[in-house]
Amino acid sequence: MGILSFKNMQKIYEGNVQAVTDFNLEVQDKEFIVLVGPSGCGKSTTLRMVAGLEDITEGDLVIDGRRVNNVPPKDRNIAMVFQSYALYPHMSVFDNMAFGLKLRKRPKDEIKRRVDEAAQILGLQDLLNRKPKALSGGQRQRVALGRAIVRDAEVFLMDEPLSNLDAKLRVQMRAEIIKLHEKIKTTTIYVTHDQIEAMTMADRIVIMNDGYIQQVGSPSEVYDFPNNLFVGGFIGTPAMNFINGHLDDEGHFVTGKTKIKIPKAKWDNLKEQGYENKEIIFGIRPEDIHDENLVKETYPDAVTNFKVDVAELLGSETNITAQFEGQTVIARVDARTDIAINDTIELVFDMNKSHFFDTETTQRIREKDEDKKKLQRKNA
Amino acid sequence: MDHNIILIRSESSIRPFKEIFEGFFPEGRVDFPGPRTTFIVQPVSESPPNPEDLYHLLLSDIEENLTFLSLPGVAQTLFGDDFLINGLAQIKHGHYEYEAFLLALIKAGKSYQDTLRRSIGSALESTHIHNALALAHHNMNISLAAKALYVHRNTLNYRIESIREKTGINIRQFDGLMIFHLLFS
Repeated sequence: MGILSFKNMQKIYEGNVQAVTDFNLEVQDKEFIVLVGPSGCGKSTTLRMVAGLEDITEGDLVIDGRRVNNVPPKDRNIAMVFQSYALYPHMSVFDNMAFGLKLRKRPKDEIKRRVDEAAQILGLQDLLNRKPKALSGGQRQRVALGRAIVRDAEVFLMDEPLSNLDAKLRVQMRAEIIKLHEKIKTTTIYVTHDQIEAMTMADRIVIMNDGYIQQVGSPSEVYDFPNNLFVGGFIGTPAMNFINGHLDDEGHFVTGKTKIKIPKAKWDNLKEQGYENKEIIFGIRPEDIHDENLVKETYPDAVTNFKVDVAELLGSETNITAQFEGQTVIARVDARTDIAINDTIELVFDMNKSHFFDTETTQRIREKDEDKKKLQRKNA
Repeated sequence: MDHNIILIRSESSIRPFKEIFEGFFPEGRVDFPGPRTTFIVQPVSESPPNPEDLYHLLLSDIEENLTFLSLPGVAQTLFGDDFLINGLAQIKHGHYEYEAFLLALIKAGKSYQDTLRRSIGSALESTHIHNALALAHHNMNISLAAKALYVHRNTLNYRIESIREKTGINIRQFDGLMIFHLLFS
């Protein structure tokens, strides 16, 4: 079992520096949890508290029903994988994997059995006698993972394990770790600042900023229903566009001289929550701004003119950075569209995909049937 | 021969790891000046092993807090082994590069500040310190600092490099310059 329960956990460093504030989370057995956020948000500190390498200032950490705040790291039954994916250069693959078990004075036959099992899982059976320098980059990464697997720990802690790798190997290892988790199903807490890793690997993502949890949810949930401006802007590449403006009393979002019609259900919800004639932030993802005629015909009230600053051809698509009522907006359109810098082009917002945020609290204004939609998605 | 030093302090004895250290730094010399302290002298080579790799390996195998320093050899000449070993015991666990270690020692108390000030000051001329402070005063902008000092920017660049040779401290980096600001301004 590997069930973790974080209850009101806090970390305050000397000098009253608050690194983690009121961290609450229940991690289920076999779950793959990714902690993601910008540098200094408290994600690595949280992981180190789980490992026992940092004291917990306040709150409780419970692993499998046992409060472990004061339990030394080696008695927590966790295995750690760090950034560098390092190996002992003078030891064979077998010895690198066996070293942690030897330190724990496990019997020889048990060590052999566990290393052989891990080698089988990772496809390293034929490489056990090799030294690290005789391995490829990918093979070395797998041995480093093997060092954690042999420990047969209840929980894996991974602190940005892919951040030192080149782009190609990183994608390859991402897939390896996903496959590995499918095979061994060990509860994993994975820290990264890379939101693509978070989206592709996690069962649930915990998004952190300034020591606070901003949102916990499945990748699709945090992408489609961001709690606030921070989450909306952090998850997604390019980031969600935010346009400042206000609502009128006839169901339009107004920014500068542009009025955009809001779909009835969304407008009714905004009106009901008292946002009529109020300042508001309109959020829309780049892929929800279109240039296809069919979409323009569907939403004629949401067609607007943009002056192109930059057009980046990415192969299958083009990212357009454009000016819209004095604000910068990025749209992702089909690569076939012929666009040049300084062109004025017509684009249309898919208003059914629009988000609205409160200007003061920066929280997203929730829709009435949102929980139903989330549940439907979860069941699907 | 030019060398780097690695100092490790652990919660329990890591003498049994001698073989590991010697395997990781095959060209290095491993000593244990105290029951929980390891001192490794590693000659500078073309592809040196990365001490941070060893830090992570030990952390995941021993599973206890370690204080781990990677320092240039000049630190040994400048401050002496005893000062470095005592300093190691004063700072919070973690992996430290040279400048971060010196900053942590400045934070550790006045006696450390005094020794650092004396040792660094005696390795340099007053012009060097004056120039470093001017660089801090001008937000690390070498052109502006050189102008204020009435010297050519190449002269200032030469002196910055000279500070690095004599003390190992890189004042082109924020942490390095901060050491001079805290000790001498």
